[in-house]
Amino acid sequence: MNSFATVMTLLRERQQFLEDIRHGVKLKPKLVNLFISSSVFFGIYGLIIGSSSSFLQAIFSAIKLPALYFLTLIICFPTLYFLNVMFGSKHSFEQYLTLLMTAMAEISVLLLGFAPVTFFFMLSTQDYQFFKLLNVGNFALTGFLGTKLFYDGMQFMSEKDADGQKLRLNILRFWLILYAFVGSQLGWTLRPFFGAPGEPFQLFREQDSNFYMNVIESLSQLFQ
Amino acid sequence: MNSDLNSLKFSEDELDNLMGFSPESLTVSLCRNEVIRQTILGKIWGDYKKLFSLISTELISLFLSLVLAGPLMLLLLDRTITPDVQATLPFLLKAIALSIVITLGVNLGVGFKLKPLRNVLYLMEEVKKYNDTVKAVEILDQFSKTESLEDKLVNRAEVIQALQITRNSLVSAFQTERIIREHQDFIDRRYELFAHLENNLTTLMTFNVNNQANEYGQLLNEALQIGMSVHREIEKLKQN
Repeated sequence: MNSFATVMTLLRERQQFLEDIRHGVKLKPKLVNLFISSSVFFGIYGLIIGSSSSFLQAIFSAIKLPALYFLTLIICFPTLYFLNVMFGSKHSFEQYLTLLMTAMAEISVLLLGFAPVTFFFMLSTQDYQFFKLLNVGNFALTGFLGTKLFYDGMQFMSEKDADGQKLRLNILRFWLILYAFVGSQLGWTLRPFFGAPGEPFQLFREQDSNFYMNVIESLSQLFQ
Repeated sequence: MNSDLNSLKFSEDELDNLMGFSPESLTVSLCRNEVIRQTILGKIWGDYKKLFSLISTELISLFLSLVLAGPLMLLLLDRTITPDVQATLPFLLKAIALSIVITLGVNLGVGFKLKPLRNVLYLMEEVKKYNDTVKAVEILDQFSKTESLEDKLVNRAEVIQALQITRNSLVSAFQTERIIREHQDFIDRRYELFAHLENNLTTLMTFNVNNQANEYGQLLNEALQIGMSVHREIEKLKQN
């Protein structure tokens, strides 16, 4: 399918892909294809982690996981775009969005790469805390690699856009931290993605505590 | 691939130019999508494989709509994030309804966009058949290398000539369609192109396709069929 071919082109010829974005070549088809393929990849990973609990949880995780990534994008993208434009960037809305979707597609491909490992641990261990932390690790690692590629892509785009480049680089660093905070907190808000063992299916959970406190609690329970 | 066959095949960039749409528009991607193209041309009914492709595409569209509808609902319409299943049920129903509306909207939008472009879609189908024929000649060439039969080589030259003429007809058909699409009122060049197509058809008809015993003969016949079908489509365009 065309959408998956676009992702393969991105993986094989990343430099050319970025060059195309910099020159604004065929951005709309790229955007649509990256959205379709990354949604499907996130959906597959969501299906796997949700199936550790129940069938219903698997279905909803397959929808909630891609929705989580796109909601984070919708929330954070305007900050990135307007701050960059305000400080001298000449690139268009579509160029920024395509670059961000490129990072999203890369994260989804990386997650899909981890899917067999997650599936293996889902079958071979019954420890909920371990499985949860394993996935937090996967999300953190893939997110880090994806944002690293996005950071490199942004620098590549800015090469010929020298006006205010240094300031925009600092804005980008700030924005990546913001993106990580919004993403992790939104993940906490939209949970459950795994579904706790023995508990009935829930679309959402009580809005108590926060993501970081829960990771610390899980770690302390795991090493008790 | 042999250089003569390489130059015969339609590349993606060449097709983009021939269709004449902006490379930035989604129309090119939609025209290229085989499932969408054959659905608009009504060629999927009765073919289970194609029907299955259409259903899969629709299911993926519904899934993507759900992925979009969830965040839209949370941001704009309903911020019900609660563990109470009874309270989240209306949220869920609204999200599903919204995703069905989005899917229907996208389907209708694609339909409205592509219905006036039926001729382009038809020509794209013919190009696909044409490229498949070129590919078949290439495969047959590889087989022939091991057999070295002279009569096959004679037939091959005829196939290449027929394919070249069919290619020219397809290019002319794309140009005609584009001119008609872009300038509905008055077209001078149209008659010149029609004359060119008539000549191509006459040349194609002179090929002797009686001997279809070998594979090249069958491919020659296929190339002729594509040429004739392009001609029929142009005749329809002329009448319109």
